[in-house]
Order: sequence, then C-alpha cells, then structure tokens
Amino acid sequence: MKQQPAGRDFRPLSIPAVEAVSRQLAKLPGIGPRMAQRLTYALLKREKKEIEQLIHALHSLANDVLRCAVCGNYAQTDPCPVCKGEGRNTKILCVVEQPQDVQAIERTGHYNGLYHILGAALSPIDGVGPEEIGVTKLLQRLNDPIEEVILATNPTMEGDATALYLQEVIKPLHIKVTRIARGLPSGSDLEYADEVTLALAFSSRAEM
Amino acid sequence: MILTSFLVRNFRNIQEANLALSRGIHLFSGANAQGKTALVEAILFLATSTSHRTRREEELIRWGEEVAFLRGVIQHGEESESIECGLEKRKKIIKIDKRTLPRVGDLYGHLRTVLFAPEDLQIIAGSPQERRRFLDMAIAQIDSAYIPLLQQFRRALNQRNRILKRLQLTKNAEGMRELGIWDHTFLDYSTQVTRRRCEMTQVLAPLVRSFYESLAEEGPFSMKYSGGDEADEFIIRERLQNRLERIRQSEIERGASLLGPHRDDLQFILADKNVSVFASQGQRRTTALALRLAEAKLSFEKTGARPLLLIDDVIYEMDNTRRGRFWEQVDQSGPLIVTATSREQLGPGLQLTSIFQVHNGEIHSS
Ligand SMILES: Nc1ncnc2c1ncn2[C@@H]1O[C@H](COP(=O)(O)OP(=O)(O)OP(=O)(O)O)[C@@H](O)[C@H]1O
Ligand SMILES: [Mg+2]
Ligand SMILES: [Zn+2]
Repeated sequence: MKQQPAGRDFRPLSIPAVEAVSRQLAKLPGIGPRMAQRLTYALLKREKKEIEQLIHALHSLANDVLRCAVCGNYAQTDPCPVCKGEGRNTKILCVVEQPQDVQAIERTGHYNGLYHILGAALSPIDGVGPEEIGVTKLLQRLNDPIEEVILATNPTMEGDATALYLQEVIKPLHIKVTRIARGLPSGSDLEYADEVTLALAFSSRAEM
Repeated sequence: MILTSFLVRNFRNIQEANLALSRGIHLFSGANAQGKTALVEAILFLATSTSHRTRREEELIRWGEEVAFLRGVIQHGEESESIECGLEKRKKIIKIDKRTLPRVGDLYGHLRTVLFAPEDLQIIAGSPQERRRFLDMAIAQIDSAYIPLLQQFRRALNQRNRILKRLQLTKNAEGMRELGIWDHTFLDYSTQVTRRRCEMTQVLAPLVRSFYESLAEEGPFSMKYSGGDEADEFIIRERLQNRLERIRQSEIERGASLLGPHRDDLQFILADKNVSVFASQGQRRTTALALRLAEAKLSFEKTGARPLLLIDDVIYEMDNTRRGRFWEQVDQSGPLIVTATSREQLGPGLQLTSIFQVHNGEIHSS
C-alpha cells in the first residue's frame, strides 16, 4: 500500500480531454481502463485528419444506422436490402439471436433466405421472456408465404430453450421448422463459429 | 504419484517447513494445537485449492503475515512436476512447473489426495447436501466434464425456479407454456447429473460395503441414491418427468423446484436401518472411513496411481480392534501421512518410513 499524504493533488499531469476519451472507450465491452488509455494515446499520435475521419465515421454510425422494422437487423435503409427480397429466397426464414449472427451466416455463403433477429434468448433469470424476444412480431411475419423456419439460436442452454419455445408456437401454423445441427461446440456463440462448421451446421439442419 | 518434497511458508501456525517425503508411511507426531492438522490442510490445499476446515481462505494465512506459500514436487514415474500456490487476502496464484494456471479447475489430477478427517462425520450425520457433495467430488475426480455439467444444471434450476416464482404470483397460460420449456431443459440436465450420481453410487457401493463389513464385522451394509438406482437416462428422465407432473401444483404454490438432483440424497443402510438416523457414533465413524477407503481404491483403479492418503485423528475414537482392522484395510504401501499425539497412539505393527515431530508450528524429522 502506498501512503498518500493528505492535501496534495496526486494527478498533476491530469489531461481532461484524454481522460474523457478514455472514459468513453472503457465503457466498451472487453476494454478496461488501461487498454482505453492505450487506445487514447494511440489516437493522439495520429494526424488530426485521421481523428476527424473517425469522428465522421462514428457520426454516421449514430445517425445513419437504423433497425429494419421487418427483421430487426441493422441497416441503412428500412426495410433492409434482405427484407426487400432482392435476389433472396423469400420462402425461408432464419431466426437468430443477434445481428452479428447474420454476418456470420452470410460469410458462409450457404444461405440465401430471409432473417429474423430476436435480440436475445429466453432467460428468466435475466428477465427475458417471449415478449422481450418479440414473438408476436415473428408470428406476424409467418403470415407471409414462408415454407421453412430455420432456428439458428446459439447452442447454449438458453438458445436451445428459445428454439424449443419457437418450435412450439410455430407448430400450429403447419410450417416446417428446422434447427441447425449440433456440430457447433455446445455453449458457444454462433458469431464465433468458423465458416466451415457453421456451413455444415446449416446443411445438416434437422426438422424439429 | 508421490509428493517428494513439500515447502510450507506462513500457512496457519507453520512459519516455515521443508519436508522430504517418499512413498511409505510418514507419521507427524505432536501434542494438541501444534500444527499437525495445519500440515495436512496445507497438503490438501496444494492438491485441491480448498480447505476442509474453512471456506474463508484468508484464515489460512499465518496471523500477522500477508502471503502464504506452498510448493510441492510431485513424481510421476520418471517425470516430476512442481505445484506452487501463493495465497494473499484477495488473490491466489497457482503455478504448475512455474506456469500460472488459468483456471483453478485445471489443478485437478496433478496431485490426488484422499483426506480422512474428523469433519467426514458430516457426510453421515449432516444434511443431504453434504452427501451430495461427497458424491459430486468423487465424480469430479474421474470426470473432468462433471463440474461444468453441475454448473449448467444449477443454471437450468435457477431458470426454472424463476418461472415458478412468477407463476406463484400470477398464474397464466403464457407462463405455463414457458414452464413447459424450462421443464424440458431442467429434465435434460437433471437426467445427466442423476445418471452420473447413480453410476458413482453403483461403483462405490460394493467397495464401501466390503470395507464397512471388514471394519465392523457386521452387516449387511448398503448404499442407495434416492434419485434412482438405474443408471439409464431414459428411465431416469421418465421417472422424474412423471413425478414432476404429479407435484406441479405444489411447485407453483411454493414457487420452487421441489424435485431433482438438488434434493436427492445418498442413503447408507445398515441392517435395514438408515445409518444417518440410527447408527452409533462408532458406526458413523466406521461408515465415513469405509467411504474414504472406497474413494482411495476407486482413484487407484481409475488412474493406476495410488492417491496420497492423509489420515488425521479419525482413528483414535475407535476401539483397538477396529483400529487394528482399519490398518489391515489401508494400502500399506502408501504414500500415506498420518497424525498422532505419540508413536504409541498409532498402535503396533505399522512400518513407518519416517517420523516428524510437530511442535509449535515447527516440523523436524526425528
Ligand atoms: N492463521 C493462523 N495463524 C497462526 N496460527 C493459527 C492460524 N490458524 C490456526 N492457528 C493455530 O494453529 C495451531 C495449530 O492448529 P492445528 O489444528 O494444526 O493443531 P493440531 O496439531 O492438529 O492439534 P490437535 O491434536 O488438537 O488436532 C492452533 O493453536 C491454532 O489456533
Ligand atoms: Mg488436529
Ligand atoms: Zn430487414
């Protein structure tokens, strides 16, 4: 324990602007105060123009990105290009937990249908029930002529429970429901699955 | 697997001790309150990163000191490795061959010990939770996937309880449908936990029975796991599902899961009577010893290496005949560490490899 004599300011080198940026960065997931400070100093080293480009990009992120009212994915148009159906198979709907999962599935190049983003998985201890994952909205979409719903929630306890729940509520509609295969490491997030594994999980999806 | 050298620094009342050990039987002898149990506890802490006497690890650090430190060298056949453990108030670092372990769980299996301690009576006389923990620890020793499975089970239990709590307040169709989903998940994990506990009971039962009957010369002794006695996942699941359906209403009224691995119990039965309820002190002690002997034997059978037996105080409350029979049942080739207030207390017939005197936290070989 270092003893600090009273009455002296121990941060004579405090630079408010640097600290303000560090504080903001430290709010991001996976970034602690030390890392935030390192990033801030790395920014300071850049040319002013580059910082301005970053500001511009962030500005556009805050103002131009919205959520597609149909699928819930991020996009710069509403509806998003996928929901507009341009070159997509509009008879298949793939349900995922997070927008990042869409990116992961798109990277495999093995899927050409529509998406629906729940935003979360059922988890009573986190206060997430059917209402929080927007089940009504999903069911509304199934009024369209959809022939297959692929449940691609994460292979975790909560992801599996969510898939089970959705399968039950969709069953009365007589639409084919499949679950992507269990080739994915259990307990992991879809987002981190490698492309080959994920593509395989898609092609060997099973009817529920 | 043999602990060949052991260094203790500032652990309980031991300021510093540096011991050379080997296979065989080592006696730690000393009057009361000198540090015998402290030494045994230190070895257990090196092996498992837990203490049998406390959950508050800072109690293990010698009063007035900041850091406790342990180092053991373990010989596996031709190879040896070191385990180090540094313990501060809010920090613990474990290293194997000088490399920090990312997770405490990875410590398992590097040094296997079986501790015979006075506290073992709690397995017999304490709450069902103590008996479940005994089973769980026994499974964890041979199945590294078991602790994560238990954690998943607890999560499923919490999820289901949360729904039951909500239904307790307001019962509605939507909630009942959600309950159905979490029933399913809860059943999945319950079944897997129950199957493993059943299997462990089946494996341990004949060993414990044979040890009990040899120690006590009375019987028949048996063990029964209340979650079921057939290690078949299909049967286990169906049985639990049926029982859950029957008590649905009371679960909702109470707002909690009333059946499952978190409620099951391990029963010890001697001549048709439950040992936990009816047995004498000596019979309970004998049961505890039989359990530990069985655990040691199983560990040897599953890994091919004798675990280090730590025998602290437990034999002195038994009469001379039972004490004699206990030593007949113990694998005398060791490695084994036993404590006593004197050489005589052990009784005759034991081939001791070395004797250490424990006095006021200092340990010297004699
Ligand atoms: N953190 C600590 N620091 C210093 N001394 C401690 C600490 N914790 C316990 N002690 C003391 O260490 C002493 C040795 O205790 P220990 O339980 O090892 O004795 P023992 O030799 O096993 O005695 P017994 O024969 O009665 O079982 C006791 O006097 C106890 O109060
Ligand atoms: Mg003691
Ligand atoms: Zn969309």
